[in-house]
Amino acid sequence: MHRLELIGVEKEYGEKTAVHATSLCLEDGVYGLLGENGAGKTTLMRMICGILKPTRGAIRCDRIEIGQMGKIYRGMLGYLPQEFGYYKEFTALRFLRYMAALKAMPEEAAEKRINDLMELTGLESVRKQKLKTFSGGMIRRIGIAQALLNNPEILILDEPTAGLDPNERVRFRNLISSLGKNRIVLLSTHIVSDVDYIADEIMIMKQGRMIRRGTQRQLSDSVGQIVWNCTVSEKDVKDISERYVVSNIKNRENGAELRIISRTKPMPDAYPTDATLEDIYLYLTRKEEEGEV
Amino acid sequence: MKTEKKVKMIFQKANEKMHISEAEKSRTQELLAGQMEDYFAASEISGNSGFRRSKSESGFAAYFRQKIRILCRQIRYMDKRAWTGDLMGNICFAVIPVALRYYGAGTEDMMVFLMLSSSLLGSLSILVLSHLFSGEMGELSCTCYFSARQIAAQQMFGLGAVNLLTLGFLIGFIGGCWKAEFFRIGICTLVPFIVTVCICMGILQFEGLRNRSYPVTAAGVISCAAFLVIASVPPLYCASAIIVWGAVFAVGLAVLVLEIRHLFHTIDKGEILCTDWN
Repeated sequence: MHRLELIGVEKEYGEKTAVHATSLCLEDGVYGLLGENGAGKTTLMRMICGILKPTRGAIRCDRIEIGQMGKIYRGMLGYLPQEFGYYKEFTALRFLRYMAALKAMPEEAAEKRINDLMELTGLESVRKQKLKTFSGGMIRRIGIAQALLNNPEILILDEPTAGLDPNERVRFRNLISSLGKNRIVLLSTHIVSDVDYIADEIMIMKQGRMIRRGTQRQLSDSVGQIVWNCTVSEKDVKDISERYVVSNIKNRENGAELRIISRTKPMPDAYPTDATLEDIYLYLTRKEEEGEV
Repeated sequence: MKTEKKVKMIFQKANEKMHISEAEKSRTQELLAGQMEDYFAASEISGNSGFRRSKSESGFAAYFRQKIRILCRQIRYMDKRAWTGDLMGNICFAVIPVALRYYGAGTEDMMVFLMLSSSLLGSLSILVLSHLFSGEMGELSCTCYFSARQIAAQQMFGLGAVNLLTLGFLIGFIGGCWKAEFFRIGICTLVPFIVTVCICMGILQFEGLRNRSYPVTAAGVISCAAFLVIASVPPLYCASAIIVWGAVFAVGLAVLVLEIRHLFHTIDKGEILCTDWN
């Protein structure tokens, strides 16, 4: 079991602050990192992987700075970048062998591991095909396979389900859930359902800041009653959508059923309902000018 | 900024007053290193077996052998197209003087060839190096065994070694066959190489330019053209001008060292591989 600590970690690029001072402590389990584009998720993950050096602060693994640990830390790491780079002319097998060589894995162990991962990710039948023939989902799967090659104790996955179809997404969720038992898994995503069921803890980032973290229950308790259902006439839908964050619209015969995210009751006949993680995420990441929420 | 400087100074002054025993410091470092080795050796999940030395191996020689083994495996599976291009270029330039000798080329013709080829080899090697930063596997590679700095250093060493071997051969062959002064042709070969490498390496320092190959290519072409012009004016590289060439070589070398230091500094920050801040 490892303990990953981020202490006042900050990243600046010139005038812009991509990640404001962030302190975290991660132990075994699955952590979901939610945030819109530009929130700072990828920058944070790159700093944890040691690719980017923080402008301020420190990242420690078991109380030792990751920069000092060097290859020992990198040996514990499995990383899937958001923009996953690969050589198009490589076959799946050669690519995984190359990654195993980059990770300095012994050859025999690498071959066995590659065979196991090919089967796990459903790429056994295409092992000798070139990566340029792969679909987006298959590329993502090979990316996940390379991240798992060295049986990492710290797994960092940046938008791992991008391009995966629903079946693949479910398969992936089950895989990650099983992996989280003995390792730190940090996965970032836009897709709330990716982390809804499997994450032990959810972290929400907005404009470079960690605005909320906790279990789904804790997040729900922290925001209070924010979701309301109501039925309105179709002509009122546009006006209401401009005034409130509407997370769902169902058109019915007698009007439209709206799911509104708001701190206060939006209309007299609205009734409260339980917030899902998606509702909480929408509420916490709403734009300031989106009126009463 | 001023507050930060002030805080730094306060800490510096405090550190000066504190006496740190070097002996104790070394003992703690050894203890920590030993504990880390034991800790990771005991780790059941750790797939670090490729990182650990076996008990029978110890010492620098074994450490060096292990590194070479790891490197050889990486070379075996890596994408070798850029390196193959560079090697073919080197071989071509090594073979051309043989053909030129057959066709009766004179000393001045060979000086033109030497300057042009060394400039071209310089730009070619930086072009190969720039692939490291072009994004395909850069980000992923530096989370593996070797850090980004180590990978860049290995590439620079490999490319430099191949180029210098080729240039050494050319200097020796041409100096021997055409009975030219080795020192003069050596300097007139190395200066275009160093200057072109400096110019192309300078391009890599700029974030907006390093991810694309055409700025480095363009810089290489311009440098080659400049040396082609210089080579076509023999008085510019006569014996009396060698001091100037020597000075240019020394300055070029100093600039190259500074550029490499700056490049490593940028690599360490990580921004060289991640230009899409998010």
